[in-house]
Amino acid sequence: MAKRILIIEDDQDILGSIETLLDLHDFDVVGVTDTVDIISLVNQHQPDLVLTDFVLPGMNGGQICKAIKHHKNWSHIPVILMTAYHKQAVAVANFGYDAYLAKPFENKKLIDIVENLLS
Amino acid sequence: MKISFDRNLKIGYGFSFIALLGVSFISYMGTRQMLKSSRLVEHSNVIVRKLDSLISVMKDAETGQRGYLITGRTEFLEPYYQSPVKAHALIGSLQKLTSNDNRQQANILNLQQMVSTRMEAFTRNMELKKLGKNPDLNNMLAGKKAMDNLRKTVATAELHEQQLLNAELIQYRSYVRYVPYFILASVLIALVVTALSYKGVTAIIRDRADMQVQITNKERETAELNDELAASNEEMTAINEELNVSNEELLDSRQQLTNLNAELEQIVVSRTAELALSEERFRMILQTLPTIAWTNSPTGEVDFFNRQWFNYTGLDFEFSKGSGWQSVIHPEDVGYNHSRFNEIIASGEAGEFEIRERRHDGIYRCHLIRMAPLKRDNGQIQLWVGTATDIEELKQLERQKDDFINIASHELKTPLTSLKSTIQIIESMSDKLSPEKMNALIERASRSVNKVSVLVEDLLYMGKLSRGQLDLKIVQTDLAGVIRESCAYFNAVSNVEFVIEAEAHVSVPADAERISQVIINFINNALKYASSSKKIYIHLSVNEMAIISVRDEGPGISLEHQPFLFDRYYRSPDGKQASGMGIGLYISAEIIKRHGGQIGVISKPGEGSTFWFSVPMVQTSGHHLVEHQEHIS
Repeated sequence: MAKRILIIEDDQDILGSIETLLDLHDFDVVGVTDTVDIISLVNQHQPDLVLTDFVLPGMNGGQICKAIKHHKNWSHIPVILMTAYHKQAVAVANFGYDAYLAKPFENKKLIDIVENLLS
Repeated sequence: MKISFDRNLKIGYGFSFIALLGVSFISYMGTRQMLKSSRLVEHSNVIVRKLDSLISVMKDAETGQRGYLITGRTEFLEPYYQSPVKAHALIGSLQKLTSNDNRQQANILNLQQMVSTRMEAFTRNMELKKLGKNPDLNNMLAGKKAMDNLRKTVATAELHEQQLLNAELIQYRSYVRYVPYFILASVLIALVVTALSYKGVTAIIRDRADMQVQITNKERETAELNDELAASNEEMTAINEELNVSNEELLDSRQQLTNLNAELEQIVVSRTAELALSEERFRMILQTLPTIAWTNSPTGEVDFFNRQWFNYTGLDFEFSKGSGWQSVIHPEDVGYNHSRFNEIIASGEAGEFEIRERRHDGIYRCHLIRMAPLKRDNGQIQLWVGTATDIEELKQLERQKDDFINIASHELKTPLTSLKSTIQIIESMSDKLSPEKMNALIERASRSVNKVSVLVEDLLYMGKLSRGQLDLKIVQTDLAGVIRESCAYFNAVSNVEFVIEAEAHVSVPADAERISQVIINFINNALKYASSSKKIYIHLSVNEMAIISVRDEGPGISLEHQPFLFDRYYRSPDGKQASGMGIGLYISAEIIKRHGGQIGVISKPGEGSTFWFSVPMVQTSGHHLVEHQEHIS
């Protein structure tokens, strides 16, 4: 059974290209451009991994990461944080994410991280 | 010491004198008594001798009578004839000598009778002889008896006289006997007192002698000192002479110095006046500066502030002087200011640093502090000049620039991310892609490239704007055509519906490419910030100017943010969607401004937004109309 990955990315083109990439690697992909209630989204889709942008309308990537990692049922779900900002500029250190991906990234690197976290 | 000495002397002499007086008195009285007793003895001796003489006279008379009676020769009667006279003379003398002694007077009277009786006996014998008869025996016996009685009476008188003398002598001797003791005692007391006095006086004299010795020694030392002093005095005199000479030289030098000083003072006075004038001028210059300025003494105390200081801080000089000026420094900058200020003062060289200073309304603004020493010809620091330039806006611009670079970088990375990812999919997984999917990927890649090119275009445009290199290619332009061209750009990448209401044949002198850039920017913003809007209305009308507006049905913009929308780097905080570089509307405003038109927004929260601009119908800007028309293809 294919692993399900939830993607939150406000740029349609980036979201589309990541969806295409993961789909081609046989993952079950759910993509949204924004969310105001990540737990509901997770409850609804029950992903095996969450890949989120940092700067988002609604909840930002840090809040999404914290919400999952502090949730009694979903804290085991690996979270990958993406941002085009400089890592220091957004101070992403304390959100409890499992991996960090700087935009623009190599497709192979994204796939490696995802497969590594899901293995 | 002197009192003691005098007292001892007085005591000694006093006792000696009193003792001498006593001894003299006692001696005088003793001698007088002795003389008196001697006279008494002599008196008694005289009486005794006269009594003895009376016996002798009576014996001589008896002897003479006897010789005559025996021999009958008259020459033997010589003593006899003298005897009555002598005897009576002696008795008369004795009566006088014993006139104050009744017993002796009685004795003398008896003696007189006895002498008379004897003499009568002699006379009868003598008469018998002369008559040639023999002496009468009775008469003889009576004569003898008278003689014996005479002898007895004389002895009695002598005894009485002796007793009388002895009694007198005993009385006198009992008195005289104590005289030597008195004298001896007085002499002894005098001796003791004198000895004691002598001892005291001797001690005092010895002390005085010691003192005298000491005085002598001191005098000798004094004399030696005097000698030394005399020697020193000579040296001093010599030195004094030298000093006098030196003094004269000094006086000469001093006079020269005084003259020199007077010249210098004159120079200083004129220089000070010049300096004061120059300082006054200098401060007047500082007053005219647009920045805050002040002066410090060489050691750093502030002694002048220009009026900009008082205007900015709202403080007065009394409060500012001393360390009062430090009160306007931001608490976090106080330590840094202190150390940098002291470093610069200590270095004696110009320096600068940045701190935040509080304005009169309580707002802190960043200032660049510059301090430079004003030096005299000899290199000595006359004063420090300080200026505080308000660089708050510069700082904000710097921050904006940093933010902009950060944001621009982010904005570029976003289309690049999708572009890169899409191209990598096409490259590595083309065998898994259907033709439809491949086309979709190529379209996405194309959109991303367009986004990048728009961003790059904007960035280049910003660069040109900031360098003042924005050149417009003004030609007569059909605005409706420009609107259509712009919308066509979006039709390929967006599902939004454009509703265009445009008057036909509105031709204005404009740079079609730049006008299109403004319209695209408006539409882009509508798509980004009013994504819920299904339609975008574009309107072209002509009043005095040609007016183009782009209206969306989005959430609208709050009034408080509207005035800043066309500022450089301003990004709307509405919707929390921090996207875009904040330069699109700024560039649009600059383009329209250069066309001589106006730009603006009409919006209310909840009622959508209308962005509009106008361009003159005829040429008003400095740009010349180019002869041939250019259109965006």
